[in-house]
This record gives sequence, structure tokens and C-alpha cells, in this order.
Amino acid sequence: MDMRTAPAGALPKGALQHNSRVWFLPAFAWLFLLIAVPLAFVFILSLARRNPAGGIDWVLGASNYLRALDPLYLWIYWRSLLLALATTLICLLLGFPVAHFIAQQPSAALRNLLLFLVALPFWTSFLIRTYAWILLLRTEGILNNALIALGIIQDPLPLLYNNFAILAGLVYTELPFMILPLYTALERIDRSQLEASSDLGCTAWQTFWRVLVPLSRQGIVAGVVLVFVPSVGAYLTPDLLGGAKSIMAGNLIHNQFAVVRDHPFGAAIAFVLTVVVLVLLAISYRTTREHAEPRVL
Amino acid sequence: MPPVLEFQGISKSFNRQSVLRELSLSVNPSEFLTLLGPSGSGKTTLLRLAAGFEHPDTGKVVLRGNDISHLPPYCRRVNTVFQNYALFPHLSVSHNVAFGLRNLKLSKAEMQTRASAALDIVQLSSLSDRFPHQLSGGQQQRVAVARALVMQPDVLLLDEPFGALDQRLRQQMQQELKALQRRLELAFVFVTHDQEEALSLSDRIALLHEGRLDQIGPPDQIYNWPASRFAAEFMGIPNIFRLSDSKPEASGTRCQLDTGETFFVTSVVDGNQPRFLAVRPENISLSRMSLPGSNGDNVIRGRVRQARYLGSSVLWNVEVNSVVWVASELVNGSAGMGSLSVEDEVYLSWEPSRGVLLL
Repeated sequence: MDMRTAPAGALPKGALQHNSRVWFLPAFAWLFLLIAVPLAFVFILSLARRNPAGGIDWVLGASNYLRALDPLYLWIYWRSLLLALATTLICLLLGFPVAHFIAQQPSAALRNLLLFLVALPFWTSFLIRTYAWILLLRTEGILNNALIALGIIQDPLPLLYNNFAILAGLVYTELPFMILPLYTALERIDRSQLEASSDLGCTAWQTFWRVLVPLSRQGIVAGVVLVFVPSVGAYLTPDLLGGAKSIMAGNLIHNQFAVVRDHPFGAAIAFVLTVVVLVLLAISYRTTREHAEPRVL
Repeated sequence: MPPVLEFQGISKSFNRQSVLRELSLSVNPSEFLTLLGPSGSGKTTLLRLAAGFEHPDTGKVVLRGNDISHLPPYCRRVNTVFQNYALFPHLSVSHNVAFGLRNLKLSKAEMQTRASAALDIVQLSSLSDRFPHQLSGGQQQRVAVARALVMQPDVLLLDEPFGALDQRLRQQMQQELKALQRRLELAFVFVTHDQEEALSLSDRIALLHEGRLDQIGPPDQIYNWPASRFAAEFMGIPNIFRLSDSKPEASGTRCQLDTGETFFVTSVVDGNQPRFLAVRPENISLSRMSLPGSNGDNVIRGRVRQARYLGSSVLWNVEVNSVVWVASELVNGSAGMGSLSVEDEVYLSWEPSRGVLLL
């Protein structure tokens, strides 16, 4: 390249591209060593067989996958899926108004403060926050005591160790992951587009469906993925807040490895769960791409 | 004919900052009215009050005789063309235009007829399947106009719609918009801070200053007879001089500048003592020699300090008693900078009927 004709401060193009590839290497190495390699190992392990001593016989076959289709396990997957869907839906319903409210604030300082508050729970250990829910929900917990003291109920409600507790815990944990991408999408929407909608005869509710939702779809999809994926594989929340009957896929996998010591079967379930999540991710990725929001000027 | 839109004694504040003060203004049917003023004069707020995005603190907004001051935007037969067009990026051109029709409870066939008629009006029928990001700035603006017109409003509001366009396209779109307004015989309320744009498009100009109506009238009146010092400055008169004295006479007013020169102007200011004299540069003629017996014109002598070439004319800065006067000389047809050069001694003369007295 003739440096004399290059504008001042411009880098030669080749140099920049070469450099940027080098910078990506650590990230690729990380992904390869810590995700691709273990996943391959899990897949191979899932084809092996448990021996009576709790060890592994390296006789490869699909028997673990056939076993994973047992109605007992299908029921657990189904419950996990439903709980994750319910979590996602509740997070969306709670998160959208919050994100919209934050995005509407004219003062940038206030917006940043509110976003900071949304992210504040991350400053405390996840484990401690989940134990806090036990204190809230248990039979002599804060919530039951308060309701009894107010005379609203006579006997404590069974709030802990059931699906309700899991749902409450999951929604609580995942809500920020819904609010943040929604906020990012809503904040980008030009206020005058909402005014234009109103100007053209739409009530606030019609504007919500006809302008706000379509224009924030990327944020909605991102939030749904970010909430649904961790929820469907949740382990700690159902373990601590759920009862013996409300087991989720994550606990099932954990049991195979830590309790039953059937590593190959645990690997098979884990792999199925991974594939299901990847398929869902691929679908959501395609829907966002196909209807990719054209940016205006 | 009664006015189609009226603002009656409107006051509006934001965070205790007064934006409009007791402002009254009416828009006549099928007139092109421009709200002109610098930023902060309240012109956009006034437009937003008409659209319903804001509501007045005191006073009324009246549309065809009905008080609409506190109606929401979706209940008003008034539509807006936004400054940045505010097209819906997720909808095609035809869906953008038909957006509001869905709220009018029309039949599908009628919706289509009206949407395509609106697209015809702005000559965009061939692009109806495109999306906003596939259109040029001028095309986007036409979509915005069609989207508002399709609602058949009583008044069309336009908020600096040419701000984002380059000079050439801007002039073309101005002509189109003016022609459209004539053809539709629809009242347009147009907001701009560009006085040339206001002069070339409007039937009447309402000049706003610090939330008040400074002056309202046809473009030539605003241009030639500004009623205040602000109006004179805003309409681009550089020659505004403080008066130390003025005396009404039979056929006009004799006035004296701070710097001592006396002039005679034919206009009179009723009751009050005028405080300023303004003369447009193009009303001042220059010559090297004082013309003898110059039929009562005001004549002063000065020295040329600077020349600015504008193509069809040259603006001369002439220093008179350490005060700068600006005179404009037409140079069309003749070559170069005209007859004068810097440091020449010149005589400035202007007719008494061209002097504007300001309060």
C-alpha cells in the first residue's frame, strides 16, 4: 500500500484484519477447550455403559438414550420445560413494563441508576440469595408470619418445597436477564415513533402491540433465550427450594453422577438437554435473523 | 370563513420554565401558515399542543370550533409530519401509509383505495413494497406526508420536515410541498427556523419570540416591515441603529442616530417614541459621487471596509462615523465585484420610504 495516499491515521487494512484474528485466538481456545472438548467427552461417555461396581465399561451403544425415553424421565423433562416456559413468560410480563419504564426516563443518570438497581442482586452470592428465599417462604417464614399477623390466613401456607417455590426462585434469579436485553431494545426506539402511532389514532394499548412489541422483538427474543436456557437446566434452585417430588432435569443429571453413580446415563440426559437447548437457540436465532430489524438511518 | 384552528391565550411551562406566554393565533382554512422563530421560541411546543402531545397550562386549542385542549392525539383530526419522519421501520411503505387507516374502522377495500391514493399524491406508488431503510431521505419524507394525509386531517402539522435534507433536495421538496398544499386546499401549519424557507412557502408567517407572537402577516410584510427589533434582526437586516431623538413631521418622521446623523423617513410610529431605525441593505444604493439634488433621499458618506461576493450581488461593509452600514449591490450581468473596491470613499443613499422605525 502506498502510504502517501493513505489518509492520516488510517491503518493499512490487511494489518488490521490480521491483528483482529490474533486477538480472537484466546477466545476460540477457551471455547474449544472448555466447551467443545468436554461436550465431545460427554457424548462419548453417554454411549458407554455403567458396570455394577459404579465404574464405566467402554462398550459403546445407544442403550442410555433408549432408557432416557422412559415415561418417568419424559415426565421430568416435560415438567422442566413447563417450569422454564412459565418462568420465561412471567419474566417477560414483569420485565417488559420495568424495562419500558426505565427506557422512558428522560434523565440518563436516573436510567443508569435504575439499571444498576436491576443488576444489584448479582453482588450477592446466588446461594445466599436462594437461602434467603427459604427464610421468606418456609412455614414459620417471614411471609407466612406476616400473613398470619395481618389476619389474612389462619394456618401457614405451604409455600416452600413445591413448584411455586421453584418458580418464585427462578423468576427472581432470571428477571434481570430479561430486563436488560429488553431495555437495550426499548431504549433504541425513537420516541417520535410512539408519538406518530398516537398521532395516527392508536391508543396506548394499540401502540404497544403495533409499534413497541415489533420494534423490540430482538430484545424479547434475546431475553426469552437468556431466561429459558438457564431455567430449563436449573439445578440449584429446584434442589434448594423444590421438594422431593419437584425434581427437574438438572437434578436428574446431578443424581446420576453424584448419587446413583451412573455416569454414562447422566451424560446421555445431559447431552439430550444440550441438544434440545441448541435446537431452540437455532430456531430463535433464525427468527431474529429473518425478521432482522432494519435500522433506520 | 372562521379559522380552522385557534390557539387562545396559551401558556405552557416545562419545569417552571415558561415556553409559551399568553399566545393567541388562528389558522385560516386552506392557508399555509409558518411558525417561524429561533430555537427556544416555542414554535415546536405550539405545534405539539395542536397535535396533542402536550396540553396547555392555560388557554385553549380550538379545532373547527371545538375545544380539543385536553384530547389525546388519537382523538384529534390533526396529523403530524415529524422532523425525522418517524416512519415505522418494521413496516413497508404501503403499511406505513395504511397504519392509521386501521383505526378508522374502514372496509379493507376502502383502506386500500385511500392508501394507494395517498401514495399517488406523493408519487410513491412504485415503491409501496419497500421498507423505510431502503428509501432516500426525500422519499422517506414523502411517505411521512402520505401517512399523515391519508387520515384526511383538518390541519396538517409539519415540524421542520426539511431539516434532514441537503440543499438541492430541500428546494425540490419545498416546491412539491407547496404545490401539494395548493392542490389539496388544506391548512398547513409549518414549523421552521429558516426565514428563507418561511418566506418562499408561506401565505402567512407567525414570528415567535420567547414564547410570544412577535408579528404575524404575509411574507412580504414581515420581510419589508418588521415590527420589532427582534423581527428586523431575525429577518436578516444588519443595519439597525439606535435613535437618540425623533420628531414626527407632516409627511413622516425626522430622526437622529446616536452617532449624530439625521434622516427623514416617511413612516410614523403612533404614540410611542421609536427607538431604532432599520434599513435593508438592498434598499441602500452606493455611488462614488454625491448625486446633486438627490430628490430628498437620505445620503451619508463613508469608507468601504469589506466586500462579500454572493454571486448575484455584493455586500459592502461601509464605515460611517465608526459605525458599519451594509449595502448590497446587484452585479448580475456585469463581471467581477462591481464598481467599487475596499478603502474607496462612497456615498450611501436610501429613499425615506425605505426606512423602518422600530420600538
